[in-house]
This record gives sequence, C-alpha cells and structure tokens, in this order.
Amino acid sequence: MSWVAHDLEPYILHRKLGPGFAISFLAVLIGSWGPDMFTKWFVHGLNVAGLHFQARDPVQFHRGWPGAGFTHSLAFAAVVGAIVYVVTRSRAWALGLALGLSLHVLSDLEDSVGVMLLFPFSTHTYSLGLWANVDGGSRMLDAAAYYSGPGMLWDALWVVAALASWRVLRASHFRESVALHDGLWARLGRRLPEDALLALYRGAVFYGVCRFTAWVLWAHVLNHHGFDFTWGGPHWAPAGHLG
Amino acid sequence: MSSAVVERRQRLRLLALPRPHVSERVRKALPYAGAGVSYVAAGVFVTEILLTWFAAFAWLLAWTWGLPTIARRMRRLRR
Repeated sequence: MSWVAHDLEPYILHRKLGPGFAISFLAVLIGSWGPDMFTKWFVHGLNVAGLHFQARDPVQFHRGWPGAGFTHSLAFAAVVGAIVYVVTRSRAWALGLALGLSLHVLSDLEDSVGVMLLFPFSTHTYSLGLWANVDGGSRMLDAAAYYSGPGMLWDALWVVAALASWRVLRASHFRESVALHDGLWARLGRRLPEDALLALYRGAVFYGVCRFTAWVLWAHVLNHHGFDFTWGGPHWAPAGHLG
Repeated sequence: MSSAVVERRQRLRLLALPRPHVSERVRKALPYAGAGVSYVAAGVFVTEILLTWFAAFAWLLAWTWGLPTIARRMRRLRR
C-alpha cells in the first residue's frame, strides 16, 4: 500500500525510459492505479442509501486468495498486457499496462501485508514490512498511520523524484513524447484544447503532490498523530498481516 | 449599438482591474499554483471527497482550463 507513489511512478518511468521508447503514458498510469481502482472502495467501505458495503476481511480481500489479491501479482500484469495486445495490437498500451501493474506490485511489497508476487504459482506473500498496512481500518486511520511512519518518507521520496523530473511536465515533452505514442490524445484533442489535455496529462502529478501535502497537514497539523519512523511503524496503528 | 449594450460594456470596464505585465511562463503557471494551494487548503477539511483522483482532476481542469476560458470570454465581452 503506497499512496502517492502510484500517482508519480508513470512520470518517473517515462523520464527514465526516454523519448525514444514508445509506451503509452495513460496505460502506465491506469496500470499503476489499476489493482486498487476497483477494490479500495470495498476495502475501506462505502455507505450508499443507508447501507454499508465492506469486505468482511479487508486485508484478505485486497491482497489474499481467495480475494482480489491476484491483481497484485506479476503474472496478472503479464496476462493483462498480453490480452490488451491481442485485442488492440497496440504495443504501447500492452507494454504500458504491464509495466504500470508491475510497478504497483513492486511498490506494495514494502508494507506489512505484502503481495502474492508469484501468484498463481504460489500464494506466499512477499513483504518487506517497512510500514504498517492499516487497510483493515477506515480510510482516515489508514491515512493517519501511513503519513506518520516510513510510508510518509517513501512518498516524500517519490514527490522529490517527481519534482526533479519536471521536464516531463513541459508542453513540449507532452507533444513530442507522450501524445505522439498514443492515438487517444489525438482523439481527445478533437474535443478539447491543448490546455485541457495538458491539465489531464499533469493531473496525476498534481493529485500526488497535493494529496501528499494535504494528508500530512491533516495528520499532523489538524490532528496530532504521533510520528514513528521505525521499521514497521507506526507501531500505534493496528498493522495488517496475511495468513 | 443599443444604449443598453453600451451601458453594460461601460459597467464591465469599471469592474476591470489593472493588468500587470506577466511573462507567458508565469501566466501559464499561475492557474496551476492557484489550483494546488486551493486544493490543499480545501482538501485538509474535506478529505473524504476532495482527496480522490476524480476530484483532483476536475479541480485542476476547472482552474487551468475552465477559469481562463471564462476570463477570456468576459474580456471579449468587455471589448
């Protein structure tokens, strides 16, 4: 469970790969968000018309098997990439999705729950246990814990790396390296002006940097959760584990 | 031109603030800075709704595309 890392990974990957590597930025971003996009609401719970929907065991549901934990595996990334290639014949999208999903899996290795990296060959969860995963609590408790422990430093590292990669946010980079490799931008460009396309392209970095700032302020200025940067911290939070 | 239109244009001119000279780069960056500061300021109080990717994208679009478009239209109307 990395928060801001998933928003910023695509920009840094794009910078590292360079303009010559034909890959869809949107595909990397969707891949990087993918494993959480359809499951997080059920992990933290959702209230609709007086009804509460939530997994009975959020950690098991999110990362385990049986559950949606298969989305956090390298095989899932490869299968999704292969299916997209067969259906669309787009190498840029297939590779982008596979890389994005893999990045998500690798950055989720660090928390106390870990991921089933080698699923379906093994259901063993690999974890570094660097910070406490509090998926079993509310979103607020999850945020408070994450931004009070090593998770905050991990995200800060990504924010610094993203800001250091500011060149990929320039309009010229967008035109020459991002829009060029993905026909979807041209299709969007028929309806939207370039200012709007640029805002969409920069949206994830905006979201990542701003929500990092907002959650840190919320956790430590508006509320007063204690910092604990020790390995596996913060130890005041109920860390989730599998098995 | 009808007197009502002339009167409306004059009223709009009175509302116009002096426009300081800013470089193109700063002009392009200002809406992003405004979006970021306002998003963080509001987000810390309304975390559940605002600190979601959908709200962030909508917020950024509103500041960097919506507001400049409205400003441009108003300027055109004033002329």
